Amino acid sequence: MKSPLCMDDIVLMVTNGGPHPADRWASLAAGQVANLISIDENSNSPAAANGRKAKPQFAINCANALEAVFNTAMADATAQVNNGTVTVRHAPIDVSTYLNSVESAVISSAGGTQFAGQFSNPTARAAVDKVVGQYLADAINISRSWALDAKGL
Amino acid sequence: MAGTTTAMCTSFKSEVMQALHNFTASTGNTFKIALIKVSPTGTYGAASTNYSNITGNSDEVSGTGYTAGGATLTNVTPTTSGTTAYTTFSPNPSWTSATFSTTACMIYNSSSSNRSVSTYDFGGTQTVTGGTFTVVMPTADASNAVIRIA
Repeated sequence: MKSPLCMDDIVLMVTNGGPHPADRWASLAAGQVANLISIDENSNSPAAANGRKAKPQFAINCANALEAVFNTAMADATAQVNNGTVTVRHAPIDVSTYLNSVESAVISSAGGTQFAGQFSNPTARAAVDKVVGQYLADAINISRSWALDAKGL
Repeated sequence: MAGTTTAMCTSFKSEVMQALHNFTASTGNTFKIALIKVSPTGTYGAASTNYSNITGNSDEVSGTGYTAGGATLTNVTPTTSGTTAYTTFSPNPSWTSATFSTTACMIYNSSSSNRSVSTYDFGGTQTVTGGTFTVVMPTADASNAVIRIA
């Protein structure tokens, strides 16, 4: 019997010489967004087959599209420390300004696939915001930390 | 045999029933994540009970960018989906400008006499050199969240 108290594996990210680059965050986030797509692995319908084939390419397209958003968020975090807007490590992190770009990136990545309409759905957009927003917060937090380290703060 | 296995600490399961852990955001307990060094002397897993298990064996990581005791985690108030309750920590813990090696970690409750919650094996030595080391928690949902009661 499975224990009622469960736990799953964590994932490690290690980057030498600086913060994790934007492409790694984008890849991680895109993988999670792609996992929001549920396709019946046992179905032999044409729609299911097309979906299974389209899903990996969607994840790649999504990662490429999200990379620019992560780059912007990380650059903004560094700039906020350098211009004195942020001076402490645990200042609040607001990712809301990036979520329109996130949603646009995801929807454009799904263009031409059967997923396009689904990612325009408000519920799916909220799920995307939650998943990608988490990683944006991490990326901002780490870029901020590096910038503060550099200033000796 | 020394080493670490990924496990929910058995003591934690009992302590939850005794209201010794509170994961509520802002008003709950303070949880931390401590890293375990390469080739630790002790054994860490379901039988671990406290952060002092690590310090007692001098098994905590030391190195640039790492402070003894580990990183403070930020609670996310537990929620439910269907019949499962779950919680996570956000943002994910990270160490910057860091140089160290580690093989495992322990989450523990520093507000509750450093009682342990869980241990994680990293599957081998992880080394960061003048860089960033981040522990990414699983997706916070009823199927994957780092701590779940099903």
